[in-house]
Amino acid sequence: MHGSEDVEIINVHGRMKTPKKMSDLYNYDEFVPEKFERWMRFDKSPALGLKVNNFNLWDLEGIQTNLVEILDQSQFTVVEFGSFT
Amino acid sequence: MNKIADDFSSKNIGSIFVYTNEAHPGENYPHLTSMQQKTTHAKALRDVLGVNRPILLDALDGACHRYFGSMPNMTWIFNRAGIPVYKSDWTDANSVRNSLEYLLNVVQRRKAGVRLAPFSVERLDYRESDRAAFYKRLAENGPKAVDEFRKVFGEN
Repeated sequence: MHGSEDVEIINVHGRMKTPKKMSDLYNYDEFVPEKFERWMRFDKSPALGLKVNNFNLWDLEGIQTNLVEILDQSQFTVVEFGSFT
Repeated sequence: MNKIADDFSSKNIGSIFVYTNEAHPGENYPHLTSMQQKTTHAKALRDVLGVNRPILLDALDGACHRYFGSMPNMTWIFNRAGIPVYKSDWTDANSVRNSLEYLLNVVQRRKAGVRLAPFSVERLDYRESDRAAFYKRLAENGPKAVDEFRKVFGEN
C-alpha cells in the first residue's frame, strides 16, 4: 500500500531554508504558476498496461477503502480526479 | 460524466470521483488544510454541483493524485486487475464514452474467440471549451479565484 507521504520539502527563500510539509505545498493557497505548475506532471504519470500502486481513499463518512479494492468491483472503472474548484 | 456512469453501470462499468486539492481556491472554497474541510468541500461537489458518483477522498497530501500526474481534472479507466487502459489529462465525456465503447467491444471480440494483442496508441482528442461557462463556474469559488486565473492567462 502506498499511503500518504510525510516527506518534507525544503523551500528556499533567499538563504533561508524553510521546511514545508507536502500537504501544505500540494494544497496551494493561490493559483500562481510557482505554486501549481510543479504538480502538473501528466508526462510522468504511470504507463498504460502496467499495474499501478495502491492508495488509501476515504468515503464521505470517513470510512477507509483503497483503490485496488474499488477497481476489483467492476470489469472497468472510470476514475475522475478533481475538486469543487 | 454522471450520465456515462448511469449509461454504463449495467455493463459492469464502475465510476468514482477522487477528490483532490483545490485547483482554484477562492474565498468560498479556500485551499485545504484538513480532511474535515476536504469532506465538506466534497459534499458541496455532490450537493451543489450534482456529482452523483461515489466520491472518495484522496489523502490530504494527494498521494494518489500526485502519483497519477496531479492534473486538476483528469480521467483514467482501469480494468479489474488495476491496470490503466485509458488516461486523459483532461476530462471529456465524449472521449470517455468513446473509450468505454471500444473497451466493451474488445471484451465482446474476445468472448467471440478473436485473439487480440494490446498495443499503445496516442490520440489528440478535442473537447468543447466554453469560456463564459468556465468563468461562471469559477466565480462560485470566490472573486480571488477569478482574479488569479485572469492574471495567469492574461485574460481581462
